[in-house]
Amino acid sequence: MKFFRNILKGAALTTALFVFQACYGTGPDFDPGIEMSFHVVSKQTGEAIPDITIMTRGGSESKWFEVGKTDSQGFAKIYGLDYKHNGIDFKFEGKGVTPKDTLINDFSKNFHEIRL
Amino acid sequence: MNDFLFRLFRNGETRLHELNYLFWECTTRCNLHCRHCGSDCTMGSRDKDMPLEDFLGALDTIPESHRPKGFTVVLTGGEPLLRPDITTIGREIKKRGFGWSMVSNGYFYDEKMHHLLMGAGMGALTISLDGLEDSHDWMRGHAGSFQRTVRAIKTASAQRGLNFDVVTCVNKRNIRELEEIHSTLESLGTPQWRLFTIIPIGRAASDPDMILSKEEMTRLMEFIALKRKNPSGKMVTTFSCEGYLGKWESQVRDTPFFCHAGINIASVLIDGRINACPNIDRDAFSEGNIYSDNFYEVWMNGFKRFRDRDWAKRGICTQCKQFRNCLGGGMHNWHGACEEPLTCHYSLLNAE
Ligand code: SF4
Ligand code: SF4
Repeated sequence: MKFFRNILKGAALTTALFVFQACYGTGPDFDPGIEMSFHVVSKQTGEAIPDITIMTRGGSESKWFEVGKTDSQGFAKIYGLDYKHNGIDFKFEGKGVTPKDTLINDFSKNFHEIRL
Repeated sequence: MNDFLFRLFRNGETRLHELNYLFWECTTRCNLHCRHCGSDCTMGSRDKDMPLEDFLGALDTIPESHRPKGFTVVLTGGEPLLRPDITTIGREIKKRGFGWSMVSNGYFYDEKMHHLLMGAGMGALTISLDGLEDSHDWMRGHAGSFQRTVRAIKTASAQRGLNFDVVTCVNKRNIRELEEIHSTLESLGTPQWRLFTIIPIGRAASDPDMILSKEEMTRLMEFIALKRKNPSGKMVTTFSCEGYLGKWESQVRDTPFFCHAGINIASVLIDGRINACPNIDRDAFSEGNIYSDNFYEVWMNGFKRFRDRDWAKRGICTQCKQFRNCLGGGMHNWHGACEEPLTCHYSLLNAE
């Protein structure tokens, strides 16, 4: 049965067969996108900094918008669907630190240490 | 694909019953009061939101080897954006290797919210728009909700990679506005527009404005078929999965009618009950409860009535020549004592 299914799935014309959505539901999330992990540490002490807001530019006016925050260990995971198309500008800011902008366009690496 | 091959495919899918679409009714609180709502939600719903860890406990029963690509957890409600932990929910789901998505009325969906949700890994989104300004606000029971929804649609449409669509529940009032809604959505850059009709349950059951006549249903089919045949832009117009349509099947949808409830679709409802789509009768068809059962064992060993629909040869379906294509319509159409489906689009469209 799985064999028959895989043949069908492989045929481009019938891929639509497997894409369904319930009346009150969304379409499927087929694109896992890019996952980026950050560890934010202090430039002076090397200690992790919690509660740092991570922002990217977006919207028609290209303003900064929050996309996540570091946890108590200074870690944060950010997901993005269109990151692979463009380099992406991240901004890190929080209490008592100087904000930092970083342009990331190497998405083969998904862990980044940020020193503030 | 002809009917025979499609039935072969459907039977194969049923035998495999791979779970790849899971609703979580994460809240029944809602900021609006829609006339067509099947959930009877209110801002002060009597059900408490389910704690995230309870849902994750159910999700974790799914073995890692049974989490196929594209497996989507669909957050539904109520209005999911009323949950203050919505981005934590998304991140926890992603961490486990699932995709996630959300159905929203769009009221709280501004650019700020959009970026927070995208950063938490949201991959698909559906927003409902129920007409032009007056009709939408009438349907939603809230002046100003149209403008908020339009803002949400514009924001989501601009997002590359997001599987986004707009749904419209067609009723006697907004059926006259379809052409204008279509142009509005196209001008907002909407990639897909999905139309559905009401099931006569919840608030809609006692509302005569909600149910379409044969002529109106035919007009709806003609409208969708025309938009698909002669699209004026990039937006794809489609009819939802809700029921078998006979000759209209190939004209208004990408694939023939197939109710995937209990075959690929499950749900965890607000009180922990395990079912398929949330619009299915909860008392008649729930298969277990995450607070007393192992979710995935229920998926694997339960759902028999979903996977063998022979029981649905009842009432008007008993003698129906289309039964093998339709199998009694969508599971959401069987309520209470299940003597007969609540609606049958095929019969309505072909009525003398
Ligand atoms: S009568 Fe029943 S089986 Fe026949 S088309 Fe209607 S819902 Fe489907
Ligand atoms: S129960 Fe209804 S909404 Fe769910 S898959 Fe079946 S037809 Fe679609």
